[in-house]
Parts: sequence; C-alpha cells; structure tokens
Amino acid sequence: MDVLIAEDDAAMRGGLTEILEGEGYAVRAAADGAAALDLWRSAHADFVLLDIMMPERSGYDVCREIRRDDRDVPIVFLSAKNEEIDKVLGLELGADDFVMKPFGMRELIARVRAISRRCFQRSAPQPSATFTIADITVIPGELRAVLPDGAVVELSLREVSLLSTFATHPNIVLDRDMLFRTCWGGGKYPNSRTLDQHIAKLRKKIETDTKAPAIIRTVRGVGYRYEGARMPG
Amino acid sequence: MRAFWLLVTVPLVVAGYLAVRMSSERGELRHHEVQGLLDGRLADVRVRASQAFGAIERELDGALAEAPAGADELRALARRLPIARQVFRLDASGRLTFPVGGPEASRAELEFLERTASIWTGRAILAGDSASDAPSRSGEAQRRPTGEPAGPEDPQAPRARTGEDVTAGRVHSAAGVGDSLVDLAARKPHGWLTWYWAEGVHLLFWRRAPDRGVIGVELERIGVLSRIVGALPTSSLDEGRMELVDSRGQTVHQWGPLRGASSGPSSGDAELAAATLALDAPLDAWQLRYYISPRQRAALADELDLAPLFGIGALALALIGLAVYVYREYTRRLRDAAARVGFVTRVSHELRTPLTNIRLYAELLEDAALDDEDQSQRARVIVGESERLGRLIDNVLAFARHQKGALASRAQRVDVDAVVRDTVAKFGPALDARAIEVKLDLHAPPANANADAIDQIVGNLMSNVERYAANGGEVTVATRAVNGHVIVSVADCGPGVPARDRDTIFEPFKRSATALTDSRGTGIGLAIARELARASGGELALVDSDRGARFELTLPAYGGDLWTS
Repeated sequence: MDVLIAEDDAAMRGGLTEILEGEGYAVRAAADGAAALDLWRSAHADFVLLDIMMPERSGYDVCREIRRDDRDVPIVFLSAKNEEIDKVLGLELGADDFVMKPFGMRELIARVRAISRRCFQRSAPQPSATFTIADITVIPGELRAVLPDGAVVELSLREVSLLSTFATHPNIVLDRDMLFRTCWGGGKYPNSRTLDQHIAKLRKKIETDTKAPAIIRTVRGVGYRYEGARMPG
Repeated sequence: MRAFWLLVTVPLVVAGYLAVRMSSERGELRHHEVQGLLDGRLADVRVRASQAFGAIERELDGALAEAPAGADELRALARRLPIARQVFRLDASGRLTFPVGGPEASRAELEFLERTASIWTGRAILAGDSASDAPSRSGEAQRRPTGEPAGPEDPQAPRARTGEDVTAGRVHSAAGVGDSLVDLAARKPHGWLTWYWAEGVHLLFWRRAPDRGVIGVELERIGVLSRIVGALPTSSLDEGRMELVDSRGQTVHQWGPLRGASSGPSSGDAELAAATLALDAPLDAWQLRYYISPRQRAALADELDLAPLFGIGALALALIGLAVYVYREYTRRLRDAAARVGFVTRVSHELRTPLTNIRLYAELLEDAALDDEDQSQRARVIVGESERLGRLIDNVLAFARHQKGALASRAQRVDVDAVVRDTVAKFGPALDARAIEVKLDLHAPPANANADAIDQIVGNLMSNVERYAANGGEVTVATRAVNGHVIVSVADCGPGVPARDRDTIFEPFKRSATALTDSRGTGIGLAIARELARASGGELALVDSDRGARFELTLPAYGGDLWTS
C-alpha cells in the first residue's frame, strides 16, 4: 500500500516515514506542497498524509489539487492548527480525517489502520483472502486476527504479510533475506534487528508465552520457522 | 468597553443637561434682569416728565393765586400764560362765571364751552371709575406685549376724569360737576381734571379761589407736550428707542435710533415694545414705551457672566479629553494584549511540531527497546512528559482563545463514554507509576458537546488527580444521565480541596494550598476546564464528597432526551 507524505519538518517526516514503513507501507515523502504534488502526479498513492503549513503550496492547496484527480483517495491532515475553523475548512476541502499535533505513534497508527481498512473496503488495493495460521484466523482486509480464545488483535500490514508468508511456508526455515524480499520488498532492506523487533511485536500479539514461542520459532543464525500442523504419521 | 463608554457618556449627558438647564435658567434670569434694566430706564425718564409737570403745576398755582373774577382780567391772565388755552372761573356756589356764552364771548371761549359742556352739564364722570385706571395711577410699569396702545377705547367719548386729588373708586354723580369741584376745592387747594375730547386727553388745572370759588386753566396740549419733551433726555440711547405715546396711542415724541414712518400704533405691529410705563397722574393716559430689537436685547444679555457655562464646557472638554486618552490607552493595551496573545498562540503552535517529534521518537525508542525494560521505562517517561507538555499547550491556547473571547465550541453528537475512556487511558502509565487504581463506571448517553473540549476537561481533571491524589489510592471516573444532562464525575481519594479554596480554585492562576509544595501546573487548568464546559453549554463544579476531591462536569444530552439515571 502506497502512502504519500507531505511534511516540511525533516524530523517529523523521518519519524512518520519510519513508523509507516514499519507498519508495512511503501512511503514517498515530500518536503513541501509543490514537491508533494509532483510526487502525486508521477504516481498516485493509496492514501495521503498532508501537513497544512508548508512552503510553496499549503496542505489545503495540495488537497484541492489531489481531489481534482481522485475524489476517493483518503487524505489525512496533520495539523498544528487546532482551531475549529481549520478543521471545518479541511473537511470541506475533502479531507477524510484530522490528526492534531502533538500526536502519538499509537494514535497515528490507529488512524492509519482505520484508513487502510477503508481502502480495502473500496478494493484499492485488493486485500488478500482470510487465512488461518496455528488456529489463528487472519483477516487481511480488516488488519485484524482472531485468536483461538476469540480475542481480536490489531495487525499492521507488515504483520499480516509476515503471517501470510509463514502460513504459506509451514515448517520451513525462512531466512532473513527471504523474509525481507517477501515482506519488505522494493529493495529496501532494513537491518536484521528491525526484523527481530517485528517478530517480537508479532509474538506479543499471538503467542501465549513470548519467552517460549510456539508458533514462530527462532532458528538461531538463520531465521524463523512457523511450526505448522504436523502431517499425521 | 461598554461600561467605559457609559462612564464617559453619562457625565457628558448630565453635564450637557445641566448646561442647557443652567443656560435656560440664566436666560430667564437675564431676561428679567434686562427687563428690570429697561423698566428702570423708563422710570428714570418718567421722573423727568413728572418733574416737568410739577413745574407746570407750581407755575399755574402761582399764576392763579390772585384769582381775579372779572372777564377781562381772566382773559388777560390767559394771555399771560402761554401754556393756558383757556381760563375758567366758578363762583362759590359752583356756577361757571367765566367764560359764559353770549355775544361778548370770543370764539375760543365758545369752543371751550363746547369742549367742556359735558363737565358743566354734569354728564361727565369725574372720578376714576374704571378698574383699568388703577394700575395706571399706581404708577407701576406695564409691559404691553401685545403692543396695543393704552388709552380709551373710544377717544371721542366725552369722559372726564379727575386727577390725583380724586381717590380711586370715588364716583361723582353726573349731576353738578361744578359743585363737586367746589367741594373738592373745600378740601384741597388745587388739583387736576382730565377728560377726553376729539384730539385726546385734555387737562384742566383748578385752584381754590379766595372767594371760595374755583379758578382753573385748560392747558394747551402742545404747550404741555413741549414742556415735557423738553425735560426728556436729549442724548440718544445706546440700545433701542423710547417713545412718548399719547392717550390715543399716537407717538408724540421718540428718541434713540429713529424708525421709518413711526407715527402710529400700527407700526408697533412689526416691533413690540419691550417695556411700557404710564406717566404719573394726571397724564397717566400717556405712556413711555421702550423698543429694543432682539439683537440689542441679546447684546445686553451678553454682558452676562458666562462663567458657569464656560465651566461646564471646560468640564465637558476635559471629560472628552480624558475619555480620548483613556480610550487610546485602552486600545493600546488591547493591542499589546492581542500581540501577547498572538505571540503565545504562535509559540504554542510552533511548540507542537517539536513536541510531536519528541513523542514520536520516544515511542519509536520504546518500541525498539523490546525486552530492555529500563530503556522502555525511560522512553515512557519521555512520552508521558511530552503528553503533559501537550496538555499544557492546549490549556495555554484555550486560555488565549478565552482571553480573545473566542472560546466557542462546536457542539455535535459525542459518545461521552468513549471519549472519557480514551482520555483516562492516556493517564494509565502515569497513574500506574503512583499505584493509583482507576475505576470506570460509564453509563452515559451521547452528549451534545465537543469531543476535544470533553477530552481537555477530563484530561485536566485527571492531571490534577495525577498530581494531587494520594499514592496507592483510587480514582473513580463515572458517567450518568440526569434529567436531560450527561454528568461526568471524577472523584479521587486525595486530600481534597480545603474549604477556603473552594471558591477560588476555578479562578485563573489560583492553586489549592495543597499544591504549594508542588510547582507543577500553570494554575489555569481548572479555569480553562470550567470555561470549556460553559462554552459547551455545560458546567464544571466541585461537589461535596466524603473524601478527596470530586468534580462533576455537566453537559447537555444529545437531542435533549430526558435521560434518567
């Protein structure tokens, strides 16, 4: 899923990129409104995060231009202006949501996942089919998984991708490169610690005991393996 | 600002009213003063006329002292007296002995008899029998604003009047005037008779004769006039014009600036006499009139002391000057305050982006710390503090908006329970750190309010709990519906609010005494929370509680439904 970010503050841009890429999105970031429009015209995105106060073109301008091309693409404003009038103006221009600075990572992720679910509902992009892994039902279109005890956990795009990869390769050791190619793609290979962090977070959601994981096991020095159901005999 | 303009306008209006009223009263007073001045001038002139007439009287009295009885002597006497038109003589019985008709009588004597027939035949009323005569004789000045000439309604009517020697109200019978004159002569040595004939008032001077008869003189009107006019002031007046008007209303003499064709009473229509004064008896049918134009009258009035009006004008000017100064000072301070508020607003907005970065990166650190609990804890502290800073900025901005009077809140359907749950959840880590247990008891219907405002209000209340509530206690956050309202209550087990602080904790920059040792907080949290509640059509109050502090936020329920708990 492609995300276009327009934010003039470099640190904010970097942080947003890191968080969204960690979630599994392909991020393109622009430092001003004009650059954002150039990126949009070069290739449309699945949704857009726009700062309002930017050099060259304001977030409102960019929103207006994008709306001319695509009436449905979700647009979220990131704003330090929390006056009522700004919200009203932004929503009238066709924004789908407002995230007010200062915001936290979890709040941002929750909003982004909500947007992603809306994207899947309008089939852009087409979500993967529901699958199961170790009695866990994964619903990619909702970015959620239902645990054997009925509890529902929220998943990121990346986590859905990892689970899908493990589910289709049961009892096979998947090395880091393979996981990077499959779940990251785009030639962006993060360091191995990043992969470990993702697996650790995933385990917190699905494993009963994270100290002794039963679903995704670590194969020291190589990678990870999904302990799928053993064939009888 | 409205009060300021009221403070300025009311004194100005009062000063204006006083000025107008004082001006009106002084105008009235000045009118009376000017009137008194004009009357006084007329009275001065009348004294001269009276003196002239007194001189005539003394002159005649002396001339008639011998009182000859013979016709020739009487004719000679008349010739010696230029002011005498005709001499007459009554014997002791009151019979007219001269002039008498017949072939010896001259034409003048016959005309005299004809003029005075009504007196000698007893048809005339001698005494002043008209009430209107009384004020004339009393010598008081009479203003005649209507300008009607004084005098008899019909100058042709033969009517005789006695002079000053006849007391008012005494009416002589028509029979035997001569007798009456003799009777009068028995009581007084001399006197006057006036009566009207064709050309107006005629004057008769009589004197007791040694033979107990009466000798008298009919005065020449022109002669009397010339003597009186001769006594009048010759210098022209500074203001206005005086006229001597005879009994028929004819101007017989005037001085001061002349007016064109001023020879009759009709000319008075265009110009009203400012003051009139009758001459003394027996010429009380004549009047002195004082004409003065409004401009000249105003010029006289201008000599007034205008100090009080100047005083009020100066007061008004000073007040206006003060108002302008205060207004300029007020607007300058307003601009300064707006600039400060603008600065605070800009800075607060500018703070939001770095604050977001601190928080995002702290959360990334926390995320990356994985099993390193120490690292996670440190990152959580940074996140918690950045959240506190965020609330602080929200409060400062809300306070700035409140200062601008722009703390409006857009109300819409809000799931209060969801907002409260989210807000309280943000305090989870901080409250956990202090071992404060949170109990949620949420049963509210939707409210008609602003979610951000509710978040900020509850956030401020929870922030107080975090700061002031006792370690190891609990905080209960409950929502319920009561009579069309949604009530959110936050109750802790802390020390509560001292009674002396209960009235002031919602005022900006006031903090409870229990917070004296705690330097955290800006002192605007509760003030802003209450203002936000009110801007949402609700209220925030500190309510009585058995222990700790208990705040209740009341909000209108969505749709005005009458929910009950």
